[in-house]
Amino acid sequence: MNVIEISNVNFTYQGTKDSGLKNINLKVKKGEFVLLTGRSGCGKTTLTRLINGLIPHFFSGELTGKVAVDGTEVHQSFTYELAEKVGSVFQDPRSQFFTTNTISEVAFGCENLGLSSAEINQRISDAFSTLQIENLKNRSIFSLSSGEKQKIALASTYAMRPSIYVLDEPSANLDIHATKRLGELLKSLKEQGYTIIVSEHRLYYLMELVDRILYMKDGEIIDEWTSEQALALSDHEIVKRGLRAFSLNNLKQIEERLEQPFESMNPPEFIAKDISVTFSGHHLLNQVGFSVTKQDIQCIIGITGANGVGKTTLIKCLCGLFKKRFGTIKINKKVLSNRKRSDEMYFVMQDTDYQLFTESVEYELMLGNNKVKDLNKKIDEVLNMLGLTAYRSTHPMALSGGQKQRVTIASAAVNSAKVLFFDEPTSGLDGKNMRSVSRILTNLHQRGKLIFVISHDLEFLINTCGRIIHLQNGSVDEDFPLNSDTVSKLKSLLSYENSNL
Amino acid sequence: MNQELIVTNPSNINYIDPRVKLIHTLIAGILLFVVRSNEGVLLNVAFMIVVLVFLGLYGCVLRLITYTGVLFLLTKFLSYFTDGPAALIGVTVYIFLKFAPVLGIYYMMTKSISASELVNALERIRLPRSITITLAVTLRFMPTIGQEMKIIRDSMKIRNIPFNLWSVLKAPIMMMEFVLVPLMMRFVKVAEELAAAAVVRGIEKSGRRGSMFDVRFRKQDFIYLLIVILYAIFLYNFEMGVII
Amino acid sequence: MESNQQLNKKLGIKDFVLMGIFSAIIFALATVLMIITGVTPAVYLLYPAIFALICSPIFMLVAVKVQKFGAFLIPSVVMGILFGLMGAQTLIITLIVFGIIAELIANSRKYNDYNRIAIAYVVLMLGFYAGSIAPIYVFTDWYIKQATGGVAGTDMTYLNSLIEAAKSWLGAMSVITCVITAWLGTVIGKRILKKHFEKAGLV
Repeated sequence: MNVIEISNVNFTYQGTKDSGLKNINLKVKKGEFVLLTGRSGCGKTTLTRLINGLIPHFFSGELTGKVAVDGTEVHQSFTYELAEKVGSVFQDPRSQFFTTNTISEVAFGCENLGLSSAEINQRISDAFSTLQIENLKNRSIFSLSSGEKQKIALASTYAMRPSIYVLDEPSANLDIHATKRLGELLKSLKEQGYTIIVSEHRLYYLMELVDRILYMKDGEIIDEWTSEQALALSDHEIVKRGLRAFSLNNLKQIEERLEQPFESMNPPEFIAKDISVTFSGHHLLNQVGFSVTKQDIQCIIGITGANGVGKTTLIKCLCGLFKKRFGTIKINKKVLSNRKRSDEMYFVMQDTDYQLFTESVEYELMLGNNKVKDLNKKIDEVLNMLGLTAYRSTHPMALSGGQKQRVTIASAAVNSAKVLFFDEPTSGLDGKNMRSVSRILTNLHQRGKLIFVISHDLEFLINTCGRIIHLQNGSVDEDFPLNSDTVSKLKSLLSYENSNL
Repeated sequence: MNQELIVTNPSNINYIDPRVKLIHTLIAGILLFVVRSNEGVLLNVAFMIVVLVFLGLYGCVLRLITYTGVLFLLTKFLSYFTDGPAALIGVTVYIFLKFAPVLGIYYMMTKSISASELVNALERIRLPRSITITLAVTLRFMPTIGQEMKIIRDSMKIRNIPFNLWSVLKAPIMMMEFVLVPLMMRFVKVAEELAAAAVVRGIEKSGRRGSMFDVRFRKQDFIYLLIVILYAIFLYNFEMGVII
Repeated sequence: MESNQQLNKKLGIKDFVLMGIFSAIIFALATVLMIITGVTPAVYLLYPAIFALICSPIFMLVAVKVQKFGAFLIPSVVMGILFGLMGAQTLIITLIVFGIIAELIANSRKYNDYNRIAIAYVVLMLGFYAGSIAPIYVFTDWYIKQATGGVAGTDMTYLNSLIEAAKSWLGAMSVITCVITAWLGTVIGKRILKKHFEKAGLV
């Protein structure tokens, strides 16, 4: 029996010209697990919105064709009727919570349905026990990690007892360990006979579960694979389609990455010694130290470690944002004051939205860079290098996620700072954008910038970095060059979570 | 608002219906304008202390006592000076002291009621959906604003835009733009996503919403309310006696 | 379907969430400013004026995005309730009363006329002024009475002259300042909306 039937659907969002979806025909059987993938903007999110009724009830536009869920047409149902059939989980856990407490969040949907208080409480305890998240009961949502938040989001829809689950990039903000746990939860839902549709960039964690993989491009479904067929695709095919790897097992380093910096532009020497940070009696960082000298291999350095281990705090200490710390930092053998250090260093933070202040890409690159020599020439050069020339006068907030990420990198490139830090530059990016960030960082490195990247994106790290510094329990626990021999070591470090929270 | 759910069992004697607490808040607001004497203020605080002890909020009791004690001693001290800056400070301290009972009310409303309980209570007193949903979202986002501001401030620092008193005074409008625009941009986006997340969880269903709390008036609610009203009448008479 | 909000003139969930989130910013700003300016009554008199200046882009954005009956009234009521819970109960009354007036002004042209939105904002801020300043006047009066009664025979000229000043020209000045900054705020708000939100296609 087909629980979802989509026939001859075309859709265009209101106020846009490009069609969101073209000629979509899709039938999903009860209990099937379907994975939608494709580059950002390919229409996979739009397709999920057809199923949960956000189109046409929430996002308006021009819709033709027929969408039926459980035998009834979506445009003739009320959103709350659909809510009982289709449960949805979205990409950003921070913007899908309606309350501040895990229990009331799980209760939220049931309360909307007008259930009795006894029934609601029954369903709450049911959801927490079936999904095995009893430990998250009655917690403030602000104390949860991204992975825990996604579990609560899933529990909140589970309590409404839908028969179909639609997940839109649920792993975008998760580390490898949390992604794996999410995969396990989805597996248990599949075993209970639910129909599941996931739209995703990260594919590896679903390969054992999926019945079908649909590859979309420009609003159309182009390819359909089983997981065996997908795993058999060559690297070239995957890169051509702009996808991420289907499996983490065969990731290889790209040869060109190993290019050395141009002779004349050697990156500076950098030494951090005994960096310690104490938060209310608890050592978050305890005598962290590492150095990058002329004798070391010149490469981009990856900083890894479990969530909450203090990676971001370490970077904030290094570039002078976080002042309450001990230890010394030397650049080219000189100890610098906080103020001087922030001139020498630049930090691209995780959320691009907070880092865009002005009304055009060009002004964005000028902001705070007025001391740079030949500013206009440099801006031209950087825009060209990052493929942003066409967007010069566009408002940064009108750009796509990948483009915004490039704008923040561009302003780091224009800045005269010699040492650049990046915090999770690839979260939520598709394969193509991820590779382009990797290429841009390599390029900057060749021009003499010393680059540190915090990331838990294994594919990206392997593509980009030549050395890994792994933090655990507040100190450097591993520091090794990344080459074909150590890739498997990195993988096991990332998959093993040491929860010290 | 409180982010922990109130684990107190409604059958416990000290579980007071949020609607009753709302009425208490209103009465306390009126009393603020009835009480003129220092003795009245102290009585008012004493009553709040009893309430907080009854609700089991011992930490708040301590803070309320400290706050009131310090301000009371200061007013006593400052009342010896009637000219110069001391008088100005005196007025300030006096006004802060006047608001001491309100601090108790604030503790009661935020520490003994969770946000969703409050929204449920407001729904029960027939406030329209438009208000209750909006208020629920406001309560949900209030705690995150501080964090968002911190991130924006950090990213301003990286971009060599200092954000401090001097820069604000020098170019207030520019600083306003730098802080508000990213915040507003982000929240417009969050608003759309959150609204979508609420729609797929059935918020558009009309009619009475369910509640995970078993909301009804119990014996202790009536007793509590009666005590509050009797106290208010007593305090009114007490004040009249003092003034005349 | 009826939930299609673009066509519908009634407020929908999108509007409630938007107003809710921005009320949170406004309330947080109000609280922080109150703490900062609360140091002395003289500075506190300027509190509504500063608040009116900073908040206007937020109110303007809400008015422009929602564009339906309630865009001024609902945030005012929510703010009133929150202030009320914190004990500032004069604000419940003034925010609701002035919120209704502001709503009627802005809605008289269906939120399409910029000038009416600006006037509505200034009116609402006057409500905020009345609600937040009134207790200070009342309590200062009481303090004087108590101080005179407390220490008999002391020279009260300084304090009295101060109060007189506060009541007459300082009070008048602070109302005028509040109106001016609120109006100035709407000008800045309009500029910010044009420069950023229209350009980014968010309005």
